[in-house]
Amino acid sequence: MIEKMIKWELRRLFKNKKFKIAFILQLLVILLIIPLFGSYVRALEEGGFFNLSIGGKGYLPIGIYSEENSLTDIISENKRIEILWLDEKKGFELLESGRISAFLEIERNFEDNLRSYKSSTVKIYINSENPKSIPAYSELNSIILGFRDGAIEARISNLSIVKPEVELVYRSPFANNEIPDNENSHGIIQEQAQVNTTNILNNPSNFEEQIKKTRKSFEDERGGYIVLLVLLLPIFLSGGMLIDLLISEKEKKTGEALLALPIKREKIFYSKFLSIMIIIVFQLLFWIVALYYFGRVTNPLIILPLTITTILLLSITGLIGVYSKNYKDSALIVTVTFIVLFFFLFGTTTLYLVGLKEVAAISPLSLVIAIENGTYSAKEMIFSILPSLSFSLILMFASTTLYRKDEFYFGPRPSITELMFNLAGKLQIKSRSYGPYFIALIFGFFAVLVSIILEIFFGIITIYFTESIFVILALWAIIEELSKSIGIFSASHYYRLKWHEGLMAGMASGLGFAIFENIMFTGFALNIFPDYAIRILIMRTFLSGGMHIVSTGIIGIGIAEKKYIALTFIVGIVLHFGYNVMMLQGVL
Amino acid sequence: MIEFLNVSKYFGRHKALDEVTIQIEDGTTIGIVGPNGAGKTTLIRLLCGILNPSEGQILVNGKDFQKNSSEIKRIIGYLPEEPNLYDRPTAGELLEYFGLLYGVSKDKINQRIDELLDLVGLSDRKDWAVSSFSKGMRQRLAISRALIHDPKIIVFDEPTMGLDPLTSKKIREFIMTLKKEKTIILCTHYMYEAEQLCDKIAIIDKGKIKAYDTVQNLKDAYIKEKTFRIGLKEMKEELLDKISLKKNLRIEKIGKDFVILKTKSYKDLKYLLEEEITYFEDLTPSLEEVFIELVGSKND
Ligand SMILES: Nc1ncnc2c1ncn2[C@@H]1O[C@H](COP(=O)(O)OP(=O)(O)O)[C@@H](O)[C@H]1O
Ligand SMILES: [Mg+2]
Repeated sequence: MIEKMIKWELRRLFKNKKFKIAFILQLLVILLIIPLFGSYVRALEEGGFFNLSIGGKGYLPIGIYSEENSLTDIISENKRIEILWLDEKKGFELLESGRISAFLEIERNFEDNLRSYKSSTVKIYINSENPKSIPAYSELNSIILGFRDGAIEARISNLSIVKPEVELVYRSPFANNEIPDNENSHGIIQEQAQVNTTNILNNPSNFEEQIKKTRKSFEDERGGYIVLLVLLLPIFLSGGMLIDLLISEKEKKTGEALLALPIKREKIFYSKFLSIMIIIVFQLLFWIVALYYFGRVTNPLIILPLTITTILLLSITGLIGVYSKNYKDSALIVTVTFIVLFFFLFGTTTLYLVGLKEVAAISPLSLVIAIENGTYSAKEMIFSILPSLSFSLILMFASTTLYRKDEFYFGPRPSITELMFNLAGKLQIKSRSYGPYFIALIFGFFAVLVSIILEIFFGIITIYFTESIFVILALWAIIEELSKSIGIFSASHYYRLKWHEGLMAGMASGLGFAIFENIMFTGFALNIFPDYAIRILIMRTFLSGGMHIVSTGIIGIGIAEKKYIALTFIVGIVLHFGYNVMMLQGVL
Repeated sequence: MIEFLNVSKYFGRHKALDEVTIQIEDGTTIGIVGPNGAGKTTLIRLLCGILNPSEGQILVNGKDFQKNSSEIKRIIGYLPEEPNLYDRPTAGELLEYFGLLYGVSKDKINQRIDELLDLVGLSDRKDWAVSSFSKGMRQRLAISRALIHDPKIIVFDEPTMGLDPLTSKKIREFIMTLKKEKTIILCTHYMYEAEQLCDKIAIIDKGKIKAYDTVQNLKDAYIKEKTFRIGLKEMKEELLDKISLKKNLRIEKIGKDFVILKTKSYKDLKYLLEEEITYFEDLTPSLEEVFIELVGSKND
């Protein structure tokens, strides 16, 4: 019986215009996202997270001790770097005084060495007390690595048989804080980017292995990460499809005829769940095979954790679909769920890349990377599959239990939003309702996630048109203020707010935003430069926290008193923008 | 036989059905009438196993519905209040899908589909997508879907609501043809429809069954007197005297050339035929009046 229903649902899906559009969309997004994501990952891996927000020629003065060669040519082309040609002594002096943000020592005959397959060394010195050392380091590091890769590729194309072995000695200056025991002053850390090349012309039997190694070194972590995003797309779309299947039966009232069938009710749920599952597993297979063919996936076994991820997502969206009365009811919670899930999955994989593998293993996506890197063990597999799978099973059990109850098709029951707002409304202290502030606070948390996504998206689009940092800062101020105002709008939708209550709700939303943003920021900081983490947390809490609370508080007044809405938005955004600019100029 | 034993249904705190007890014999056509929100649809959904009773028990052929729900649902055909059909498939595909889910065998299904589409006058539309169907066509397709597995019990929830008079009439005629062999439960708020089609009528209001009997018995029970208007050639005093003397006849009104009489039985009018009558009009209230008397004047 159920297989007939699955067949029917599949046929319906394939005939569905929405489904076709979604598939085309996937293709487009995948094509678009690969280059974008590559740069994100590079930034992440190299600790250059903060590069995005700062720019301008001469922003990074760098000392170089070398003769001019093609590497220094490339460095001088960088828009943000200003080169000072220095000798060793002068270099260390300026580095210590903070006049230059990094000092580069390039080995004599660097270029010739590379050409003749000899290993060659470039030393990057930075002063960890200079905040600009971080962007300088990451900027230089990526240029040097790019140069090395370029040199290797040039050789590969010239001598088509030769595949040099590449070994990169890579040590983050912030991973451990050792101070070099040479004559350099305190706080100066030496970093070596060493390029070893070996001529393997004489040893062609190694050929296959060398190719593998080379490709691996290129793609090790980055590749897995891109692949993830590509493959997550159909998974996330599948969640929407399942909700669509479940809710359309209620909204169009076609489900009543199904309930009259001599079939157990839960089978209706399972048939929908399984048909989406089948489609997605086939889609995943399709993408994995395609990516494998293009060398983007090294181990098709990643289908396993991805399937688990699909089950996790479908069991969550399934529950939402079973509970919601209509699309409108589900929209808010679906958005929130998708954002949270997205950040859960990517947050954990980011942790995985950063090295916190024990924590990160809880996400099945970490397993995808582990499998791609060939470093998975049975224990790791169980650890990353079991929590998700059991959580999914619990949710599925809840869905089927609810589906059996009359109320979940016919009602009456509170909508999800009502449910949430009722809960919030119960929040009373001394008979005063704190519901609106609580709602605004919670929405403030989510506003961080919403604005990060929007900022990246619109930021990248804007960069195509202008390189002005001010435009981007203004854009970010607008995005963040709008995201934060969602919470106030929601609160004022359910409670009539007077102007001072609007102010309070706005401040609550700003506070929620600031708290969550600072937690995230500190999380990154702890991993990237632990020394500064606490200082940054304190500084940000007072400065950015204050700004978020004030600007959104003002906007809250406008949302409560509609006639001032445009004015307060302008004031709030200008304030925020002003703060951004001051931060950039380093006034604060 | 279908039996409701003290069945109640709550929606939250609202009691939509209140201790309903009713018996439906095999082969009869039952009308369920009542104002909007009376609980007709709720009663019908319980009968089809779409809702579960909050209290009480439903028996079909002596078997508890909830314990034998698959088996019982197999012999029930259901036409929901709104014809809710998937838009994309063709009429034939839709009927095939439901037929298979009701357990109609694969080799019989096509013959059954053709038969049914012919009956409801849609045989030329078999391969058309449902989205191209008019409201009346959808209703007829929904009816054939309800009949696809040749059920013994057929349940119609407001089958003619919102349709044009001609389509409504066709559907009523179609239901008439089913009457011979099936048990039919027809829920409607058109009184004449119930009167025309049903053997027995249950009047329901605020979740309670107010009356349940044959049309005739309901009329007899609730309409105490019949009313006539009789046109007379000549208004003779002696005739009026004669009428007044009759025990069972009562003059309601005397016009210039007519009288309005009330009586319990047609028999009492017999002797009037000897007089010269120009016309005769029966003003006796219909079932509608019974209904209004029972539930107040809320029927819209
Ligand atoms: N799912 C539901 N949730 C809440 N109340 C309902 C629900 N379904 C029906 N009711 C209520 O139960 C009563 C009976 O409804 P219904 O059976 O649809 O009436 P009818 O079909 O006679 O018009 C109405 O008052 C209606 O509001
Ligand atoms: Mg109804």
